[in-house]
Amino acid sequence: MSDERMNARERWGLLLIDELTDRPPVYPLITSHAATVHGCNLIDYCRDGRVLAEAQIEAQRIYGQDGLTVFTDVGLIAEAFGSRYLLRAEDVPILLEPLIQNPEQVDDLAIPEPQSAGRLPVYIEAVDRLFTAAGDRQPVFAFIPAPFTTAAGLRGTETFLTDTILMPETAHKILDLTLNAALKLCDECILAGGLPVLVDPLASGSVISRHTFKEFALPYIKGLIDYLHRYDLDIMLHICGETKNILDLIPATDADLFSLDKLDLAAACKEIGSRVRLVGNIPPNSLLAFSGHPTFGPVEEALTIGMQNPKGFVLSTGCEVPIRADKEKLLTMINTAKRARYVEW
Amino acid sequence: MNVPNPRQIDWREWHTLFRAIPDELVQNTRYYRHLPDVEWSLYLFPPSTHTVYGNRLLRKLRFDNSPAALRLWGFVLSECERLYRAKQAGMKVVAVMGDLGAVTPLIYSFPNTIAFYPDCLWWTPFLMESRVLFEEAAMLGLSEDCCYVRAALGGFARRAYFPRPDLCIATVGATCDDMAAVTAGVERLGCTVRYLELPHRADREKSLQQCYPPFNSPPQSGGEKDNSSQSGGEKDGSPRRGGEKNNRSQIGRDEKYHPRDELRSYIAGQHLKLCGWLEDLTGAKFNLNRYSATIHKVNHLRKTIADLKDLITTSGPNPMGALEMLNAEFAALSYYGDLDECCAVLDELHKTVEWRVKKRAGYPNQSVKLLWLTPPADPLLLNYVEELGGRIVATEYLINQTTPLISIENDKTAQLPSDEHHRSFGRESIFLPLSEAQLSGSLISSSDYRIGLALQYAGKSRANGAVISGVFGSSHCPYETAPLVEALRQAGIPTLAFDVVAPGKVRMQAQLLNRIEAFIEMLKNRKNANIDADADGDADERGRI
Repeated sequence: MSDERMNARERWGLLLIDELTDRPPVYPLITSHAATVHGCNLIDYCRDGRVLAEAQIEAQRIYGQDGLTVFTDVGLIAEAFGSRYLLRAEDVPILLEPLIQNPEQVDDLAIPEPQSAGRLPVYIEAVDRLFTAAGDRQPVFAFIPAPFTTAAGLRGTETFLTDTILMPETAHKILDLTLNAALKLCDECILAGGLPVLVDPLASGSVISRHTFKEFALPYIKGLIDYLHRYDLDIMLHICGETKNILDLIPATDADLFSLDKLDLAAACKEIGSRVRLVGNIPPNSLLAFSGHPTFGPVEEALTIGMQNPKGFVLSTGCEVPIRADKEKLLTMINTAKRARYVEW
Repeated sequence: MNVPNPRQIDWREWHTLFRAIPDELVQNTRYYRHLPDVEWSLYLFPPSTHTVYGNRLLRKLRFDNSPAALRLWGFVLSECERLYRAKQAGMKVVAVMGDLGAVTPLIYSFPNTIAFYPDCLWWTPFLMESRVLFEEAAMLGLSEDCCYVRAALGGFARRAYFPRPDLCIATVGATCDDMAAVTAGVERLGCTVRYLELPHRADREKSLQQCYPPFNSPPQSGGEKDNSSQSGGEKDGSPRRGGEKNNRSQIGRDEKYHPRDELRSYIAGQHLKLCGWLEDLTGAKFNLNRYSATIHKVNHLRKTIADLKDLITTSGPNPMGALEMLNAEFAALSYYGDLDECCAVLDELHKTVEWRVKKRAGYPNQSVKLLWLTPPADPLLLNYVEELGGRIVATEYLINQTTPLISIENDKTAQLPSDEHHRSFGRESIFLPLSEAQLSGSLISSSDYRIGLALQYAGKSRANGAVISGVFGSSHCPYETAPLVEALRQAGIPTLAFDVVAPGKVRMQAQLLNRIEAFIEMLKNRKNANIDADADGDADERGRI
């Protein structure tokens, strides 16, 4: 947008100190889709910090979104512990074999070193490269798998969910470990110039109950956010899928921004909008070429509602932009949102 | 809280050390303490926090490892947010341009009113390692032929670096031409600017001796401790900081050359004008008691800074980094948006430095004493010099107008309102002491005056060399640098002069760093040779060859 004076760094900076900007930041969660744009396969994207950074820069050049994202998959920390993941050229990694087969193993596990374990160094390198290349104009968001989701990757999703019922102490032990691992990774991402964003897809209302969220996910999300708040960092929490059943609990996490997915935006504004900035929530599947979903209308609607949110709003997708999203649709979404203006500005 | 081994550490180490800072201390370190319930006023955070939000240079700098320095950095780096928060809290925010700290005591004397200098945005492109503000300024007509203060114009245009000021004032006349260009640009952006006029101070330019000091003695800093300067007092007739006593005798001699009273009165009239604008802005009448209380705080701050400058000339190891000292010196401009907290921050720094001097604790291996002239827009340069073994023992950062104590309590002309003074001088006489302080500026007069300051500082601090960091395009630098270099070299002080390189010009920066390295190496050799000569009884008393 040629008439824009403000860059993404400036826009986010103002939003985070409760100041009005020219328009809401437009930040679709462009993660692995960047690899498609860049023309590289996802194995390289996941394994090479340079490729990841170049792909993100390329995607930002094409789309002009407000912010750069470092994220490959939610298994990142679990893999660094020792779980086995299958990296695929055309899709995101999937869990092959969780590390913890026997609860007794938990006591022997060491926190992975971000500088050497698994693909964590790739992550740090990507953050550092992006910050060095464009950190003055673009914030660099480093997505950190939250403790609950990483625990599922360490134990296997079904087994871990069973643990929460049958062996809650074991579940908490694993969560303590994954919390500490996340803290360590956060530290390195911060030092590389990235602002941690917590992603907890397994803590979704689509997967777990309100009770399980309250008991096993929330305390660890909060632990992580408390640690980051001590450094005065503003933290975004992303939970995929349904979150209606836990919406009232989101402020208790102390997240500064909540990235929501399958949730009525107006309801979210009403319930928590005076305490939390909202990020969302264009359906990602609407960006697929043959989805049959319109793009323009939902964006306009989201803007109309979101821009009224007392604590602030970021126009985004409800979840990651699909790997093979339609470029024109994504551009339409972004450019539509960029035309918005706060009248008071 | 003091740490046993003063060191300069990087952002990574501070990030780790920060975990050991007690929660209670973090929670109690706040600005705007008159707003105790707000959640945003914490500021004791490590450099890594500010790195994440775009201040990329912090990853390359080295910081003092004391909690006092951490607090200072946190306070300085949170100024931008503080200005926005001030507006949100209903305070009036005044943008002041050009005078660099001369009129802020008056602004802060109004209730709920703070000031800031857009001029100081010249550091932002360096801290962020960014050309964004310069490119914006270039689009508005100010490009590389203008000083780095052009970043301020970019800041006004982008509306993301400070809140929209409630009042925008600028000083014209004997001020920086580049800043005047910026101010004109700001007006073109549609911002109403109100002007104060600062007359040229016509120093007699017959010789250095006659020229110096025409109005104000420079601060009594240096290796030899001067108790009168510490207290601001006037023992044995020596000048107080601000040189009140000396001024009077000097004025007596120079009366026929300098219309000093006219200048003072004229500037006081300008201050009176500003006073009126502030009354209109705040709806509050000027209040002498409040003004006196503010001046008292400002004097405390100025004295703390002067004492700090004295302390770092200690014969022991360097007790504090040049960057922290730069931050401290520039606190005198607008107090980083919170005068009370600024005083507390510098008090703590002062305690730390005092303790270190007493214990002879400091950084090892910084033995080459340097006088630094003109503030370096790129903070990295100060670090670099220290890394090579240099130590900044004296500075002339062009902000002399912020150093004198403002003699409101003792100056009978300030005992207003009184009928007699009203008749004699008019209402503006309240501001005569403030005007006197403003007349101490080194930017508002001859180069000879500044040369005199440089020579005096070099002598008192026993500097082994001098560094002048200029700015290509800056109006005062090209004219002043050459005579400064000449005078310093004639006085036997090796001098390095260069223009600070803009962010992103990697090759030019590399060349500059080479020059600095060679200079420090040369000074080390001279120093070592001098030690040898001294052993043979050949060295002169100043330790130079």
